[in-house]
Amino acid sequence: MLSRRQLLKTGVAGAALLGLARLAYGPITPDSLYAVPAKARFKVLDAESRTALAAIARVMLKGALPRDEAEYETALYQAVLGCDTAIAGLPMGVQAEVKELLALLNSRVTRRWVVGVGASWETASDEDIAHFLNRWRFSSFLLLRSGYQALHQIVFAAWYGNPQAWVGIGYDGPPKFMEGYWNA
Amino acid sequence: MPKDVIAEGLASGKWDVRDAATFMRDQTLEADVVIVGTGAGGGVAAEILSLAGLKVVMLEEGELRYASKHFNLKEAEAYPTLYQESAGRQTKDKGITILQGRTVGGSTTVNWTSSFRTPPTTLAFWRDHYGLDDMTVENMAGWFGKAEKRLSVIDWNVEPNVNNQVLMSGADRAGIHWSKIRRNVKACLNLGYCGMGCPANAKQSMLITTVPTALDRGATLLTHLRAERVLQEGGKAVGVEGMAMNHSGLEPVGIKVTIKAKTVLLAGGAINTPALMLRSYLSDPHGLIGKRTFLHPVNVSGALMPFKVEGWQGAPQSIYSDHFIDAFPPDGPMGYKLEVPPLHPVLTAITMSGFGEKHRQLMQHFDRLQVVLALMRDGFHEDSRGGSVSLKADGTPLLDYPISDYVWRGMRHSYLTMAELQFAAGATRVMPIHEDVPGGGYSSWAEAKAAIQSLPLEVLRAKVVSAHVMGGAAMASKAEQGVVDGYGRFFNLDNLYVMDGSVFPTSIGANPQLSIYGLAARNASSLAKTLTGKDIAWPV
Ligand SMILES: Cc1cc2nc3c(=O)[nH]c(=O)nc-3n(C[C@H](O)[C@H](O)[C@H](O)COP(=O)(O)OP(=O)(O)OC[C@H]3O[C@@H](n4cnc5c(N)ncnc54)[C@H](O)[C@@H]3O)c2cc1C
Ligand code: SF4
Repeated sequence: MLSRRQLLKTGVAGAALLGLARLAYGPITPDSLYAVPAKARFKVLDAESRTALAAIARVMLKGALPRDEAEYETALYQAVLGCDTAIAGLPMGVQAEVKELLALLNSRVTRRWVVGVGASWETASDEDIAHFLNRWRFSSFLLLRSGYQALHQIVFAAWYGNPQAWVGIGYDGPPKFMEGYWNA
Repeated sequence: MPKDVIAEGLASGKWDVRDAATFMRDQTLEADVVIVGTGAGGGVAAEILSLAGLKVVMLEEGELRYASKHFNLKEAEAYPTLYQESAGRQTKDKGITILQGRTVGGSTTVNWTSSFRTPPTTLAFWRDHYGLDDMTVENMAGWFGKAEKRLSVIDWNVEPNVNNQVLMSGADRAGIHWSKIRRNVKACLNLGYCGMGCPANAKQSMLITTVPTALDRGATLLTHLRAERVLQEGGKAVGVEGMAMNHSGLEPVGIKVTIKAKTVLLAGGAINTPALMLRSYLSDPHGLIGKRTFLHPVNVSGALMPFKVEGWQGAPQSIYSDHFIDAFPPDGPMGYKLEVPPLHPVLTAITMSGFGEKHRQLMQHFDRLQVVLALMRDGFHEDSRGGSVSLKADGTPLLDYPISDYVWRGMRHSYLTMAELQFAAGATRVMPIHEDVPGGGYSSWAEAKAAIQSLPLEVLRAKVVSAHVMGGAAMASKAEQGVVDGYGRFFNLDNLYVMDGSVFPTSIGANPQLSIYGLAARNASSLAKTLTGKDIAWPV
């Protein structure tokens, strides 16, 4: 097992090695609604991290994402956008930690050896990703468990914070009658 | 049209409220008393000291957000704007997630209104172990009574929501005693969104009670201002230096604000107050600042009921059980209080373990989900010493809270109790919130009982949370044992006081807000008398 220090080193070194962002955000061709430059919409996530998080969210949110293909793409895009918002709301120190985690996911070396996903995030199968998540989730290594928990927290907060995600969970949202309360 | 006390106060032109995020240059203010933090302790102190005619300046790191303008009941907006660290503050090993407020009114703006006086056993423990001889039930009763009157603490006679009813009926059937929770509300609409800021100003938080009175009495409120350090000169505290934060509250904008004051009162809440003290390099000969920070660590048990629960509706907490507080002496096996939390989609989804289809299956039954919490009474046994606050490189606080075997034993015991009573109340499935519990949980009490006995109890497997942070600047009669005395006076520097949840030498063993209100009222009244020679009538 790697020590925390070693892990962080590989993470950081891995990220440094990586240098250029190779992967554009794959699965989505922005429709007119989202046809704004990526930079303007995403506050913290770079293209690579978006790809990694989209792959992870796709697996974590299985069953929650809509089945219809077009809706699915938009929903997944929104989930990643939600992750971006969630991360951007964290204190700077914590954001730095999340970025370290993302660097670990993104670097080719650590993705293969620490994360255990050989293929790029774009091509990794759902099974590979679920396997990685469970390996971290039940790891005897505290740092990996906390990495899993961080992803769990970010992805589910991003998804269920969006009113569109409340369909199918028997929740109608906050009581409507409060909306006009102060102007009644 | 209902009236919002904050909107009206701002519109009156009489309030002095300044948003430091908009400051263009460094500035200096003067005050009789500068108060850091506008939560339970700071709010009460600000009201009493300004009633005494003192010039009070209140500093608040968070924003001034209020019902008629901001409280729209959406978690995605409430957590980043009203809570410390987006409601995701974590202990050093990330094993415990902590909810604390960061807004005008502090945690009282987002709390769940449960109101308990400090339990007699807790006061007795403080008298016996910390020399706080005058903290008898009789002496404190008057102060709790005054606070209850000021903040409208009432018997809540509305029918409990189903989430609470399950705790009640399950406890009955399992032979565990329970009682009703009192609440600090006026004309409560029984909505259940207290955690996102009460949209109807029914909750009598500091935001709509003491802070407005202080402003009416000429106090100044500076928002988006993080107190960085206490200024010291010649053995005295002489003010506070703060940094203006940007609108999101995440980054300093590079503007310094200095408040010169004859008296400095810290009320940033546990974790934050000790951190401010550490940043100030205050004398700390016994190394006590930040030590013995308590959390009432909470473990959680979910259940699927054969009927609708809709845990997002209705007063979030109306029933509790102290069966396992009363069953054990404070220094015996870990005692715990049973309560339920409000259930909203984000907090529920991030709390439930697992992912993919399993997680979704659970969320599909969100309306039938029932959840019980067990709050550990930490800090009374020598194997429960709480956590310790240190500073990160950027000066922000970090709490290290290792969970001892003693505390874990309490959690295993409570997992069993919670499962037993959830099944007794008719649950079809019970799932202790723990990664090793199979998705969908257990289908019978016998199965749950056997499985819980062998659950590995470790952080980041068992879900552990907290909404009650206490201690870290403990009071005691002697400097070897405490950071402040029983009146909140700091032992090692004149004119410096602490009046918030950080002064408790142990956890409270009950939801802490009323303990803070009562003690802060007593100590602020005493301070007012010292500074002005007057007895202050409170509440007015
Ligand atoms: C979600 C939730 C539910 C709860 N439910 C209940 C309940 O039902 N019953 C109950 O009894 N208790 C409840 N509590 C706990 C209770 O509200 C707190 O224990 C209590 O408010 C703590 O009071 P305090 O004065 O110590 O600090 P707080 O009320 O937390 O106030 C501290 C304030 O100081 C500010 N601050 C901190 N550091 C600085 C700085 N350096 N500069 C400027 N400002 C600063 C913070 O932003 C914050 O606004 C709940 C808490 C939460 C978070
Ligand atoms: S239940 Fe609703 S109306 Fe009542 S205090 Fe809570 S948020 Fe306000």
